Amino acid sequence: MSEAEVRELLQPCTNLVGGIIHACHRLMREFGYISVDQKHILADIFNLSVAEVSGVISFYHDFKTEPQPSKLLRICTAEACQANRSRDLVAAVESHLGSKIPCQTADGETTVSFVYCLGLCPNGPAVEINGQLVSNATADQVLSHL
Amino acid sequence: MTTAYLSNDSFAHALGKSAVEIALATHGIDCVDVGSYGLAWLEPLIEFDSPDGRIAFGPVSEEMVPGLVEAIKSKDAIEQHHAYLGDINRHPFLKPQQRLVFRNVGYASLTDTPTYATLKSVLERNPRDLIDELQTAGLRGRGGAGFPAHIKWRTVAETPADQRYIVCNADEGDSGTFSDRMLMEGDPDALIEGMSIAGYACGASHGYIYLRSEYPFAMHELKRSISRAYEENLLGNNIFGSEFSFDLQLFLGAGAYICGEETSLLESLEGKRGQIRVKPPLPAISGLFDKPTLVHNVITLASVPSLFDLGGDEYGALGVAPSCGTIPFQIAGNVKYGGLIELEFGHTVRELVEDYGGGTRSGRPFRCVQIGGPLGAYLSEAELDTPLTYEAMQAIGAGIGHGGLVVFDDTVDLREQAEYAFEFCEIESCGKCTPCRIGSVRGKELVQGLQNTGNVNADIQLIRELCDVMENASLCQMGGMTPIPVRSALERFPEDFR
Repeated sequence: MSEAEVRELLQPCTNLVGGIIHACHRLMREFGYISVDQKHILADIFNLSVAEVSGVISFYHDFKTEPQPSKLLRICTAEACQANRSRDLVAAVESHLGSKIPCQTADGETTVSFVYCLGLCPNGPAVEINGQLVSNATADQVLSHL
Repeated sequence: MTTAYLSNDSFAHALGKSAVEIALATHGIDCVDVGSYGLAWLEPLIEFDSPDGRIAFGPVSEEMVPGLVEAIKSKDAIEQHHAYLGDINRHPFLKPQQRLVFRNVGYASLTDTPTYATLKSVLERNPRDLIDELQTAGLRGRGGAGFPAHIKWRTVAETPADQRYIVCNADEGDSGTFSDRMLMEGDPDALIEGMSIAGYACGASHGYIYLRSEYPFAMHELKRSISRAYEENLLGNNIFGSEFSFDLQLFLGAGAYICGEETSLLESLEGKRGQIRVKPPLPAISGLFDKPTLVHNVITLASVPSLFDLGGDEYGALGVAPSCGTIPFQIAGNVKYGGLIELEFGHTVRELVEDYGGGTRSGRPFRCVQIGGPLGAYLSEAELDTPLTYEAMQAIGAGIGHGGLVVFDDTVDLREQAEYAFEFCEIESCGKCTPCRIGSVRGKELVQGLQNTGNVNADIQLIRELCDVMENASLCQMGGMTPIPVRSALERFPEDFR
């Protein structure tokens, strides 16, 4: 996408309250991350310094500044899921991956990370696999996606 | 009998709703999307129209669909079906509930056009009358702090300004809470109508819903309802032909628990890092873009239409004054029957855990229940008879918070939970104040170190002192309330720290 096209993509956000957050969501949806060049564009259209833009982006868990694997698997580790043994699920996945979460799979195709509450608290452990919500998740079920 | 009502809640989606819907479609049965009744273990829940009213089945799976389609053809076969629930209103989990905020959720189709009849009727009244009635009703903020709503409304209304805002805090991030999500997915119009009424009463013409990004289905329903409300002129200019105009926008958060703190939320809404502001000034006086801003949680605002329908006197008579009205409790974690329980204040913790929750799902003995999210206290068996009112909970060093109860069985290690409380604070701290930013890290290290230390008593004393510092010197409740789960674990379950 050319710079002009990126600017066009972000243009509608400039009229919105908190427009830069809307714009970052758009970039994440389109590219999966926010590049250095795009930070400069954001700074320009929102009349901010690049440092201010970086400050906003780095604050929020959802915004990434590096290319991300195409798949995302998130395990809920909030208390209600802990009560339904999400710690065991995490241990099983970490032992399979051979590294601590958050991490990427060896083939680089999947990011495995934590999420703090998907709002499915009575049916834990809860997992989100590529945007798909899963309740009562088992280790086998999760590992089949890795 | 062909109309089917299928729960479209995230609960149902996470348990295979889409596959059930597709399977039903192949049998020529179209589903009407409805919210969830909140009986989470019965999702996906489906109802079919019959001459005797709706008949419920749940949990339903894709594989069950052919059998179900056969069964609903004959009255005898229906009742024999293993997932038959009958009239859901007579289910023991739902029947004793007092549903006001959730009065439409599950019943109303998500595609029906709402009427906003309450908004229409209040537009004929003086805005100050509405605030007086809110005071009579005794509604308090349902997001956690329990602050009297009428004081906020009056402050916003009476602060001179050229612009005022209504902001809905839909950044429900507490573990064990899902009432905001269920409301937004099942009856988003109750929230929009409540915000509009607040806008009229406070003299605000703009509203924002700050929604957390972890709730994509809620986002979908809110978008649909907002655009429909604009089409029907239930939002926008001169609503119901009156002088009142109200614009509403949806704002998507970006994964930051701290943005549930109202000043952090306002910073984020302004497009900045979600770092908290020092209070005062209060948002009701100087909030979004330094204008008077009414910030309420979803349930507080969604309570407004049913409150005015019922009337301030009748609403205020519910509960145990000054904890008035109803609150949607949420029971979760290791329970047999988890879900949403809307009741007036004053029922005991035990009623929720045992009568509704049915004990632990694992079948192992109950050990503790955490009330009010990650910053809430862990309570032991001995405290289960405490009534759920703001006052009674405060008296035992706990709080109702957002109304979430998370049950743990005897496999829980409270040392691990205390460590997690600090760790959560470390991850989610906005970093503005030192007690929270550094205290959380030191707290985690201290709790971790208890296993190897030669002097447990001295280290526990140090943890207690750290808790005192965090409680008294943090700028907001993130650092200020992290000591609550830690202290409750230390005091009620000291054996886990030895």
